[in-house]
Amino acid sequence: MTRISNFKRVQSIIRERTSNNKLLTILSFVFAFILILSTIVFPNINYTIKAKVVDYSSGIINSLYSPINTINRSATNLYNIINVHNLNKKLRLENQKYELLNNELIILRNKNKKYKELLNISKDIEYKFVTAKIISKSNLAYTKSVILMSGKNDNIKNRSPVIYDNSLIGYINDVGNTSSRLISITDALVKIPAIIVDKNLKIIVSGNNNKYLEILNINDLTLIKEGDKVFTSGDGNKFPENLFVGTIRIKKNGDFIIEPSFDLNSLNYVKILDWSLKNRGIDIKTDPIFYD
Amino acid sequence: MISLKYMSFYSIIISNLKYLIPLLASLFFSIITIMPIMPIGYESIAPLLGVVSMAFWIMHRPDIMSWFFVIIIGFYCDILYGTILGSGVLSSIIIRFVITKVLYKLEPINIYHTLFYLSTSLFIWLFVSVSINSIINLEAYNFFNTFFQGLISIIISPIVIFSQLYLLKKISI
Repeated sequence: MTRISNFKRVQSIIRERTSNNKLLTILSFVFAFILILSTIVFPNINYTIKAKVVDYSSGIINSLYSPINTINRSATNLYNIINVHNLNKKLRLENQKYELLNNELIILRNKNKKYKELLNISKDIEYKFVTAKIISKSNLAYTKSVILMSGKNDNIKNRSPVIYDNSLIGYINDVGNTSSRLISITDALVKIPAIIVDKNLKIIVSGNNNKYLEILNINDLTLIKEGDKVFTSGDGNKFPENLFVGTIRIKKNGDFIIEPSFDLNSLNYVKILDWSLKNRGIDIKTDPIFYD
Repeated sequence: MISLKYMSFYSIIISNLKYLIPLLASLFFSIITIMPIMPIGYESIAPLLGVVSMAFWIMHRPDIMSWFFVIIIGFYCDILYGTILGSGVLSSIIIRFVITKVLYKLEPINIYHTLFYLSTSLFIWLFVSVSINSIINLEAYNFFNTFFQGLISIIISPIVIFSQLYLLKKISI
């Protein structure tokens, strides 16, 4: 290692030291500070720059992602094949439970339908969606986001909720023409108005750049139990209501946390909901502060 | 005569293309960082290969890995990782400044020096990125994951070092 480049290295160090680049050093630092300040002052310009650059590199990212993901999946599949016997045993037990629950569900669904007809309740909104491919992974400890291979060309809009199997995954943050960035619900920036339906208890769920979600603003802890299901409440017009967020778990120190329904890194495709006013069933003039 | 002129023009471009290798290698490793390279469940502590690559070139060829290239890498990392624009730029500028102005000695470097410089670079990157992101967003961060991300990066770094030593050798010839 020492032999390979020692001469060139010493040469380059001398060149580096003899060249008077104090001005360049100062300029570089000034540029970095201006960039950070501009992010705070002009966030929209920064979003545009980010979206454009991701757009241009999405082709390269996608072409690298597919083969690497195939290799990674193969390794995971190999692990599953080895553990197939134990998994089968576990799944059979779970399946028995779900069969019983399914019977109850059919009866409840039928009752619910009849009640709705009796009360003449208007039909639920069915949101339009676009299915988008994930082309990167959320691999950093201090931010949780991935790049999607869909953008403005596919009618994707900023701040649209992203779901998978009726579970909330996150929302769109930057939108380019052919790509966009999905911020996961586990990111520290994300706050979700949620509800524990069984107890009619409203909470605010927050990401913390960890695997699990935190509960904010909780007053009465005695009501919550391990295994409780958390859904979006629809408050604040940020996410639709009744999307599954996760299940309550208890930490060793007794604190409550929420285990998200899906790990973003285990998904290949997600659904981006059309979150425009029209698609939400709002066709009157509204205050953009509350609805956009 | 004209074709000879063009030949010399293109040969100048081609002969100088090798000086783009450090930049391209660092950008390539930055992209690899957001690829599914880790087993499921351990993604949040994936190695920061782009930072390792950038620090390697600053150590060995600071004349090629200029301030401008370092800014490009930091900028691209910010965009790829979705962090605050400028945090990666500032981190990479500080890394270059620390390595070339503070740590650098003229004695030949061995693998231990390399690992020490890399560890310092990773520490700077994580510290600056996490600080800026937590100051601006006013959020508490998971410092355990950040620590282990740094640690995994150091453990994986020899792969990047040895693959880039080959490139360094090619450039130096």
